[in-house]
Amino acid sequence: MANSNNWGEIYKSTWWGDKAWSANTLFIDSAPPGFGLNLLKASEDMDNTLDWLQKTGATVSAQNTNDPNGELTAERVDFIADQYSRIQQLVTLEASTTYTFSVHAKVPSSSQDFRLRVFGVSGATGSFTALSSDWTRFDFDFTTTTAGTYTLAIMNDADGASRSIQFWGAMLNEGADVGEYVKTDASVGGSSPSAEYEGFGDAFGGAAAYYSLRRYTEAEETNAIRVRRSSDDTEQDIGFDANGDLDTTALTTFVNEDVDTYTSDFSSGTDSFTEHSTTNAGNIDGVSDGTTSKDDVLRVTMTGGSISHQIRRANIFDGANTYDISFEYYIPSANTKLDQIVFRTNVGGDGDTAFSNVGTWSTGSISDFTPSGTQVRFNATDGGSFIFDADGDVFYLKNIVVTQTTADGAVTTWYDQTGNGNNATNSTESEQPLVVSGGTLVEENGKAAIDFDGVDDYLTSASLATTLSSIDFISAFTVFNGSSNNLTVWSVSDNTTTQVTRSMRNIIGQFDFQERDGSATRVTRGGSTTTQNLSSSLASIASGTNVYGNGTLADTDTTSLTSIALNSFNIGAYDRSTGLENFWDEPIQELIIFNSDQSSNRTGMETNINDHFDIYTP
Amino acid sequence: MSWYIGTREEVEQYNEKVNEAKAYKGSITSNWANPRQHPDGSKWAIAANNSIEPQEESSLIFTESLSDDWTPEEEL
Repeated sequence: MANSNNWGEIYKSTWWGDKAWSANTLFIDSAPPGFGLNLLKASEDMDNTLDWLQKTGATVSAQNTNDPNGELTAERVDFIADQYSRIQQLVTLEASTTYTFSVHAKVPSSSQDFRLRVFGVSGATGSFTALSSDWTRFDFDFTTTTAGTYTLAIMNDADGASRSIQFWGAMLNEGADVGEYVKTDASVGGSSPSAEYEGFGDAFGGAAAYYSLRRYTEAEETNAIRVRRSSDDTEQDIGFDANGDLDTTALTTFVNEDVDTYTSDFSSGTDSFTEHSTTNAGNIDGVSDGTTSKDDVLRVTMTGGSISHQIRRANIFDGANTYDISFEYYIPSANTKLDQIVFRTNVGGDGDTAFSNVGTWSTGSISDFTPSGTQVRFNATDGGSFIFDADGDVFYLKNIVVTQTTADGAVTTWYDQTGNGNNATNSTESEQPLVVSGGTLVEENGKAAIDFDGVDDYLTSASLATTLSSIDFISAFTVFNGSSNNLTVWSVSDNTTTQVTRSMRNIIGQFDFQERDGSATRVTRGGSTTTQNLSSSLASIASGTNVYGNGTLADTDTTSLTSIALNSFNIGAYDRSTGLENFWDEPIQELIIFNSDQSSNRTGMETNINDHFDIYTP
Repeated sequence: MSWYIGTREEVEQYNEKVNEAKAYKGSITSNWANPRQHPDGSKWAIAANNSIEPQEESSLIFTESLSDDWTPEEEL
């Protein structure tokens, strides 16, 4: 029957599951679809590893304490000393939709900080403090942009301290407001879902510094390196691709972007083009071939009689990279002999390119030119002869443009991806190692690498030196290329002395870790290095040092040492009172340093590293 | 890597010339090269920039590489 009063009609009702029903009660609300649904599984079973993945060392104690209803269903999550320590769940979400992520939390005493995060949604982080007084429900909302699978995490606070927090009743509901809590069941049977990305830091936590060209953790979108391109010294951060490898497409696109490194300007002079049996004059106007007239032209007039005639300009090329060159030239037909100009550099091996249109303004161009020389030179010729006598003959030049199409990519910063801020940097151009050389990505065994020149390249971190000073245990894992006597891969030393250090080297083709406290020396050296290596150093002042090469014990030394105070950490060099030296001259791909004993994790870490870099056959 | 060799003042002047020419645009890089002193203290060297030559009055000497006496073997 038609409704003539324009009142709303109830034509459908849905039970959201969050309201009590009775025969005499009808609830009417404006909840959107999805409200009242908990999109998380195992909301009270965070120990269920089919639904909740335990990452970066987090562990869950089931039924640890009473929940808000007085029942023994709440879990305790123990976070290790790593800001990425967490439990997480994969959820499929809609595009352009707002959701609210919530959990109940408390601690046995005092208070503890934690975070709720959604990976892949910018800014989707809530920071909270769990209290001991009672259960508190914490929530924050976020909005997706695209539909897909998202990872929601209950994770340690950004301070990275180890802590334990009790959790119960996790929930994800549609809408910007937290919904009334709805319990959901845990999955039964099947296998755990795979994380969207598994980095070293998702499996192992607590690193003091992580320098690598692969992504540390899916929990953070970090950058790997900051790169300066040699063509114009612009810098840019470079991150990772979807597979967690260095984003080499973004890297090479940035480094090899076309840059006009020289554009002539003859409006007020000769723009530093020098005369060699010529007379050069700039700012010449009205140079016409009868059809086209140009202003601000360079005029080159032959002088000196029977001799080679040339103009030069220095500091155009870098002697390594590739360039495109273009210019306009005009050779008057009134010349007595001069009928061709030749482009060349100051190095004969770079070759000659002749341009011989006479009587008309023409364009000359050279592409994909990779000269060893650094100068631009233009010679005049008479039928190809460089020596001729034609004083007064002229040619004209205008709009010389040199475009650099490849460049070196120098690493100014190797970011510490742990979040500890121990970035390794070098602000001096000539001392920065390369990740792109002459336009080509530096690679080792099919993956990007950072190449040190063995002369003066290094990267340094003062804060990591502080972290490693006067401690007992250093655990380090280094992926490098080096099969001969390539000296220092990395070192931490006291640069006010000559012999105080804990450093990782490659000496006489062997894995090497040296510790010197100023009087005693512990040299742990053995095995045989190959082209690409994994060196694992587990070094305790108190109990001795073990060095492993490609997963095999290379040497052990228990020489007695005292505490070693250190103030200088460097990748690719050793710093002491006489200055930096022993520079590394091969590629390095990954360096992970712990200020703790990782002996029990060594084989797992080596497997993780080798699985990614494919260094050796286990 | 090629080098210029001369007095400390000369290599520092060269470094300053390169720095001025480059006018670094990034947030990290601010210096071309650090002068290196010969172990006997008699002279200094600085990495040569292929695109920038020393001042005309400079007496810096160009060399394709430093000889071994610049980096004596010392026990570590």
